[in-house]
Order: sequence, then structure tokens, then C-alpha cells
Amino acid sequence: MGIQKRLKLFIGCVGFMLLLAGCGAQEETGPIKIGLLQSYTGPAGLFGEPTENAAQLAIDEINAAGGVLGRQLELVTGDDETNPQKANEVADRLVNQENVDIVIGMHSSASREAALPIIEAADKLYLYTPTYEGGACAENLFNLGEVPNQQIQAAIPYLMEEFGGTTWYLIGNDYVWPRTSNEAAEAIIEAAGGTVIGEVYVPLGTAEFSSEITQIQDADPDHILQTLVGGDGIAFQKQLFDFGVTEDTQVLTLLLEEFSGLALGEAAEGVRSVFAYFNNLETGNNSAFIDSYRAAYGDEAPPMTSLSESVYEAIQLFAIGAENAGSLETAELVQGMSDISYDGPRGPVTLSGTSRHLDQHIYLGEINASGQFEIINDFGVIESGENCN
Amino acid sequence: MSPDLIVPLVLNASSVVLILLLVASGLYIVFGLMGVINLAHGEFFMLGAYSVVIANGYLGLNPWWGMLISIILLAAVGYVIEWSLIRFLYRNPLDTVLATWGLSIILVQVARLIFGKEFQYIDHPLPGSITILGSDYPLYRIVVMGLAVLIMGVSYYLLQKTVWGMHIRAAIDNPDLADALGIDTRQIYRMTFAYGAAIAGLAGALIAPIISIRPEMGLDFVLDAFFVVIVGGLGQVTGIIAGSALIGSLQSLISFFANPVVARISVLVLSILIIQWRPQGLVKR
Repeated sequence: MGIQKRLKLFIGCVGFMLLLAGCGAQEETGPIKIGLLQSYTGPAGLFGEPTENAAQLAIDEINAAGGVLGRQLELVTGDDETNPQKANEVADRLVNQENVDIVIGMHSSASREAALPIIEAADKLYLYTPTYEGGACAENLFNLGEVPNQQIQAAIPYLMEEFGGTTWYLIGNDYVWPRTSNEAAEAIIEAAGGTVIGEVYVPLGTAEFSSEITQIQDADPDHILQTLVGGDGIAFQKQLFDFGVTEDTQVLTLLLEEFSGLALGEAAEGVRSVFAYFNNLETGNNSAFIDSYRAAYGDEAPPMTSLSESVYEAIQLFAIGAENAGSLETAELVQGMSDISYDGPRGPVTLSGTSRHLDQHIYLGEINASGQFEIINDFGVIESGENCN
Repeated sequence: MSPDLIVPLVLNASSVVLILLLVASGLYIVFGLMGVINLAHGEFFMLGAYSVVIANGYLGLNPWWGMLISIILLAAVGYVIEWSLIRFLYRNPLDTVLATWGLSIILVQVARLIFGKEFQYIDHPLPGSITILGSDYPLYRIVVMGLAVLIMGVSYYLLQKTVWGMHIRAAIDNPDLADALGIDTRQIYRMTFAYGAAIAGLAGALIAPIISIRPEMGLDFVLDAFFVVIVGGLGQVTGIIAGSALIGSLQSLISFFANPVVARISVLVLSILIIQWRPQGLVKR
């Protein structure tokens, strides 16, 4: 046996012993580890801080009330850098090295696809929280974000009825989420008696929209459905305002949130978004939630958005589900999480065991001249319309 | 296609070309003339945009003051960076690539630390539109187009018609001989780098009102700028004009008549073919 081989064997043995020790040390009385996999850097990095704040807020509240199954909760974070490959590595660290008990994911769908096999292989519960294109099903996965059915199904027929106009122009970034959403939108627009008169997809990272805006002006739609991500959406809205299109064309977006509203100001006046949560929501328990957020993190802390607040809901739902199950065994947790209800900042929600998605209130927000969303309609609880049975 | 569309299409293509030219003009001086591959050029552009945030958001001034601040701030940043970093690397282009790449990461982090990761709001300096040959077009875009032409004109004048410009050209052509003739080449290089940085900053400040302002914004623009300089040909004013005109108008028109993805691919393929066919770029030095 060569020296190298022996060395490898030795390292292997030590590793195995450490692993055993690790298992032994994981007593039933220590804290329950909540793994938060999200983006602190990269294009989605701006959501990192408020999302972690929301998670910590939920954990502090639960711990103050005695914890879950008599144990305290502890937050362990991981940064996917808005990069699926990194998501795969970080998920591995969370479940196999940090030994978290559950994973909460607030990241892109691409990162979810990369992290899911790791989390399933380690047999951990996975709560995926942001708004997404729908259709994700797996053994241990629950999806809490808004799906196209909830956002589009609610908003499009309402807008046509309430504000008139039948013709739609669809603009989005060229990847799966905008394309899937627009497919759903097209059917809903036609069912509501409208028509799609144009559709265009731009590469991610586009900053110049004059050609697309001239196309839109030429088609002269009543409504624009905008599914551009982050900075692209901001550049588009600024230029749309500059070209004077927003004066006589209504804009509905599926992703433009509070950060973008504040960055746009008067350029976004009248732009509407549809979400299950807005910073300025007055229903539900949101006033108390925002008060404790501001008390804990100050007035300078970034705005709360549906994306970040969803993580607060996820941890509250986990607490209810775990108490239901009476155990942290994943199979029992999945049972315990099924068909539970919770009344939090976004109003009453129900996590369905068959759809594995969240039935929740959906609201229509409209940006005012100072870049703040005002809620102009509450569509009530809308079922996800998904099925993971 | 209706004839009404001709005017907006021409204006769109012109504005894309001139914005590209504006962004590339600082790089033309630093990369094209001085031969410094400055990967932090996009971050100079980003800091220019944040100058408007400082003026408008933090000091409550009219956003136009931000344009002025961007020139002063970036000239100072450029001067200090040349003095502390670039001057040691003129003879090692590969080291320059690494050093300026590191610098770009540092500058992005500095912006994140000072201003946060979120998108920034600034007041629109010039909302409204102007009617040109029967078509309404955003007034601000027209002004930016005019300023791009003006900046190119000033740069051309400075480089071709002034003693400073002659010294720059001499120092770049043959540094040893220029030194021997009593030209302070170090000072010339420092001033030239600072000038290139200031132009990059001004470009960022001018374009900030129509794009999203965030710490990573430089990346979206720096690649196109390098493209324009390489395709157009290093070291010639006419080179970057030709490069911007070709890339910008194709991008704009193909986006309109086909779609933006096809436009992107066409521009990339064409650029590769041009560099293959004329490695020295469209305009020879």
C-alpha cells in the first residue's frame, strides 16, 4: 500500500468519524436549522438583504413564542450569486455540511432546477417561495409564490372590464418565465374577448428599447403586458415614458416590484403590477408586520416586496406544519404541511397538499407619482390552478 | 411598412449609434490610442451615472449638475488610478487586464457599499418630446445625440489640432523619442487617461436618465464599447464612428424588422467576419 493510498484511507476514516460525530452531535434539543438559499449577489442580489430580514423576523417571532416542537429556530444562509451552478454547490453545503433541517429557496427557477436534485437526494423539505412560471412538482417540494394562473387570470379580464381596451402587446425577456407566462396570457386574453396584436422578446441585459417602442407605437395597443426582469424593466419603462406611450397605453407587469417603483418615480405613474403582497397592503396583518420590520431594521432598510415577504410566510407555514406533524421527519413534515392555513401579512393563505402550491389573495397595485404602489383591487383568494398530485 | 415610420426608424438608429459612440469614445482614447485594455471602463461609466445620483438624490441639485460632477469626479478618479496603478503596467498589457479587472470588482463593491444594491432614482432632466418632420421624438434623446456629436468633435479637436494632442500622438508613437525631445510623457499619459475616464463618466451621466442605475450597470455597456473600438479600428476617430454606425444601426434596424435576438446574433457574426477579413478594423491606422 503506497503512502498516498494510506493517506487517503486515513483521511477517509477521519472524515467518516467526523461524520458520525456530527450525526451524534445533532441532538433533538439543539436548534432547528432553517437553510435559506437565495441571491445576495448578481442581478437578483438587491433582494438579499430584505429577504434575510424577513426570514429573521419570522424566526425571532417564533422563537419568542417558544419555538417549534419545543426547539429554537436558527437561520443558515447561502448565496447562489444568481447562478444555477452555484445554487447546486450551495444547496449541497446547506444540506450535507450544515445539516439544515429544511431549505427555503428564494432564487430563479434555473437555480431551483439545479438545487432540487441535491435537496431531494438528502431528503429535505424544500419550500420555493418567489413568483414563478408554475409546473414545478417534486416529492418534498412546496411552491409558495404566485403562478401565472393567479396573476394573469385575475388581472387581465378585470383590466379589460374596468378600464376598457381589447388589444394587447406582449414584451418580455427571452427565457422560459416570460414565454410561459405569455402563453397563458394569450389564452386568457382571447377568452376575455381581446386579441394579442404583437409579441417581442429581448435578450437579458437589454438597455435600449427604441426599436421595440416604435413597434409598439406602430401597433398602437390598448394594453402592454410587460415581463422584463430587473434593470431591463426599468430601462424599458423609462424609455416608454420618454416616448410618451404611457399617456394612452396601460401597462401591466408581472414582476415590477417596490424597488423598481421607487427607482422609476413619475416615469412609472399608472403602471400596474399584480402580486399576492405589496409593501403598502392595508389588509391582513401587514401594518403590524411592517411596523416590526421597521422597528427591527430601521426606516432606511430596503422596501418589503412580495418576493421577500413570501419567505416570512414560508417560515410561519413551516412552524405550523412541523407542529402538525409532531416530527421533523421529511415524509411526516410533507404530510403536516399539506392543507394548512395561515393568516399573515398577505391575508389568509392555504397550502394545498394536492397542488403543492399556495392559494392566496391576489391584489392589483398601481404606482403613483412618488413611485409607491397603491392597491386598487383585491381579487380575493385565488387557487393556484396547479396540480402536483 | 407605413412611410410614417421612416423618421422614427432613422432617429432610433441614429440615437443607438450616437449612444454607442458616446460610450465608446472614452474607450477609444484609453484603449484605442493609449493601448491600455481597461476592463474597469464600464465602472467609470457606472460612476458617472452615480454622479447624477449624488447631485440629484443626495444634494438635491438639478440632474444636469450631475453631468458636470461626473466629468470632475471621473477625471480625478482616472488621474489617481493612472498614477497608482496603470503607469506601472504600460509595458505589460496582460498585467493591465488583470489589474483593471480587479479594479472593476473593487469599484462595483464600493458602489454597493456606498449606495446599496438597489436601483437608483433620479429626476428626469428633460421630459417631453419634440416634433421632427411630423414625428414626436423624446427631446432628451435628441439632446444626448447632439452632445455625443459635440464630445466627439471636442475630442477630435483636442487630439488633432492642439499641442497637447500632438504631444499625445508623439508620446504614443514613440515614447523614447518623445521623452528625448523633452515631452513629459508621464504627465501626458496621466492627463490622457484622466480625459478618457472623464468622457466615460460623462457618457454614464448622460445615459443614466434612460436606463437603470445599479452597481453592475457598466458590464452591459463595456462589451459593446470594446466591440465598436475593435471593429472600427484602433486609434482612429473615424474608426469608432464607422464601428458605431455599423453596429448601432444594424442592431436597431434588425431589432425592428426581425427581432432583438436575431439582431444580436447578426451583429456578433458580422463583427467576427469583419475582424477575420480586416484584423486591423474597418479604418486602418
